[in-house]
Amino acid sequence: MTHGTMPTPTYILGISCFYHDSAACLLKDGEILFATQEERYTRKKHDEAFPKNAIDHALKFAGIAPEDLSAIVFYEKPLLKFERILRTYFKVWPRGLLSYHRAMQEWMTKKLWIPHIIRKELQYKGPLFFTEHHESHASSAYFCSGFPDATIVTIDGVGEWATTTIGYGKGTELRLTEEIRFPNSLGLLYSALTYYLGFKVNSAEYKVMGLAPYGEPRYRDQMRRLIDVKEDGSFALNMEYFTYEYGLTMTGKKMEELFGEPTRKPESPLTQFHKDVARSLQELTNEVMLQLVKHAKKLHPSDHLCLAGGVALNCVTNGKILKSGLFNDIFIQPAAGDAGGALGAALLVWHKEFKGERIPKMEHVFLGNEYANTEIETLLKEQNIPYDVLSDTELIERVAGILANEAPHPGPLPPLGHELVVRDPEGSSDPEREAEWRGEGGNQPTAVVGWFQGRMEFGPRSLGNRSILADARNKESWQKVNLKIKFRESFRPFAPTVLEEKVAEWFDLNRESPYMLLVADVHPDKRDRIPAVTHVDGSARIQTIRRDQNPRYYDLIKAFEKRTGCPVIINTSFNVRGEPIVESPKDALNCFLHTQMDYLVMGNCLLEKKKIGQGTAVDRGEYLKKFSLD
Amino acid sequence: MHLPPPLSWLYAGWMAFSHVLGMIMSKIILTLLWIAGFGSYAVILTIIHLIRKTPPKTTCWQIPPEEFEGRLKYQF
Repeated sequence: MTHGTMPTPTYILGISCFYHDSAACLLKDGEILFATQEERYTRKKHDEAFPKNAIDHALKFAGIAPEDLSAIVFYEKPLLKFERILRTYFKVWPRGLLSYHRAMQEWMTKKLWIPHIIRKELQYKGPLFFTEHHESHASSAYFCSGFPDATIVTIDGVGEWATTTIGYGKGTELRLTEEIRFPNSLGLLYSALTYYLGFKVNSAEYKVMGLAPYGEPRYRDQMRRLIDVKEDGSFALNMEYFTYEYGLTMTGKKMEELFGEPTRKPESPLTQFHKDVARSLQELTNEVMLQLVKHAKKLHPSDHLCLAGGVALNCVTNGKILKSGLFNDIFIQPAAGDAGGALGAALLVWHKEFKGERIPKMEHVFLGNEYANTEIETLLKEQNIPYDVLSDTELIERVAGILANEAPHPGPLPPLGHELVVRDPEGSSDPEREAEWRGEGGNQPTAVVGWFQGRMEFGPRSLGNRSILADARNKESWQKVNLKIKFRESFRPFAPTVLEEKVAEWFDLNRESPYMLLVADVHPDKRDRIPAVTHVDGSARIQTIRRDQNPRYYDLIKAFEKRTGCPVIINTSFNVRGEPIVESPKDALNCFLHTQMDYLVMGNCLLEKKKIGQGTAVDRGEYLKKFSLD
Repeated sequence: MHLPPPLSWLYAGWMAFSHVLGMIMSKIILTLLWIAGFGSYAVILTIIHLIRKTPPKTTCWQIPPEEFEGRLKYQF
């Protein structure tokens, strides 16, 4: 069915759900009007439920009802996926009984009824489409890239059957020409070792990436036993070491025998062994991805590369691909995981079914809700929270001054509570570290600012609208934000935002990186100046900012640079560990009140913690209990 | 459904019992399907595979199925 004459305007809703990271995306005449993830509303990280809240917000933003939609698109083909699951059970039988029970329950009650669920939840009678999983990923990258043509590589855990695909895009045409099929999956290999290292699967793979620089690649031989990488870039896993085909875990005894260590229990202390395994895994991933893109380029020569799929969130690998010089330009979909599938699915139908024109390059991901100053002030007045309202210029200057440590010091920090001991495996029983964190001896940390502005970001990264900001020049800022505000593992580095025109002066990068998806080295002579964002190996996961992308955020960093000579600040997501990024002023206020953040800026409202009080460790503990550790 | 007590208690009890019974029965039926249905098919496939002795692939790349008209309408 093709739609020769398009209704105007044409609204297409893309949906992803029922695996992880449910999301909804609304297009109007091919332009991305609204995109958001369900977890931001339900406050359950990686929520996989039907994205009713996300869809309601999208429709409300557009001012339409479900009957005004020209099409709804689901981001994968459920029956193909079910076929893969059934065939896998035939293959592994008689193993897999417990996994089979769990899977059949899910499929019989929910996943086989997706058209029915969509129509019932939305009272929708119009056309319904289903794209393939990796096609959705490919589409989300290529159609947002602005490239006239591109080589496309998508790589993730698994979709229906494909785990890795290669294809090309030209004009409005997109075609995937080769694929690697389940169970051979680089994404699942990475997830399996994430599990082995004691982290949460489909949630904490980026922590393994952050841990890698602390280790040495001592386990290359063991990695070679896990995966056979061929000359043409394809690969096959040695399934003896993995149990995800039939088990409820990713790996078993054989993996433990291979490395000579048991699977790490979550939250137990990390040792050099774990860091070395992480490093070995990262090197392997870099190597496989480079082989893949080389092969992709041979098949579909182009100056441009588009990447998507969960593995495309591995910024270290992306940095290696960029540095290889194989392509003149690379576009990585910022919502590279399954949430971006909703976007890709909608775009694919826009082009294939509605014969729509290409949209311009995606210049930003601020596609969620925005809250007016009046709404923010109403909330603060209801809660009896003292605040100041500042003009745009006053706000920029004041916050830049706070970040530059020109404001009076916030004062001594209260004792660390129980929540810290529970949440940090690096220092759960080290009194010396605890004293260090309290700022006893050494420099005092500078102020930390919660920054809540404009429309919410789409995708896993905070890029200046739902962010926690701090001074990158002060190493104590890093410790304070990690341990006293985000309550997360102390090995995890922070990412910088830098003015785009200054990026080459401070980093080994000579192009934009607006979505924090590229890692590059900090120049050696600058590492001592921005220690809080320089990882142990001298690298940083960079976000560049231009004024047309986010004027207020750009002006803030510019004002900070005027004061300090440094165009770089810490930018981390506005949430505590295990919590989704804040969506509403209420979420931001809750996070602010229950952590040791010093200031909160929402719209033009500035809140100071010393005027409100720090709150008790018991209150913080109660707040943190709502979020399961990731 | 609005029933006067004690009928409402009986109704609530019956619904709870039905739910538990449903959970148990579905597990029994799924397990029987696992053994008889999946088991038979798995054994047949294994025998066919052993007889045919399919040679291992030299590469893992596979070509995706052909596109067909209107394929985006379908769940497969």
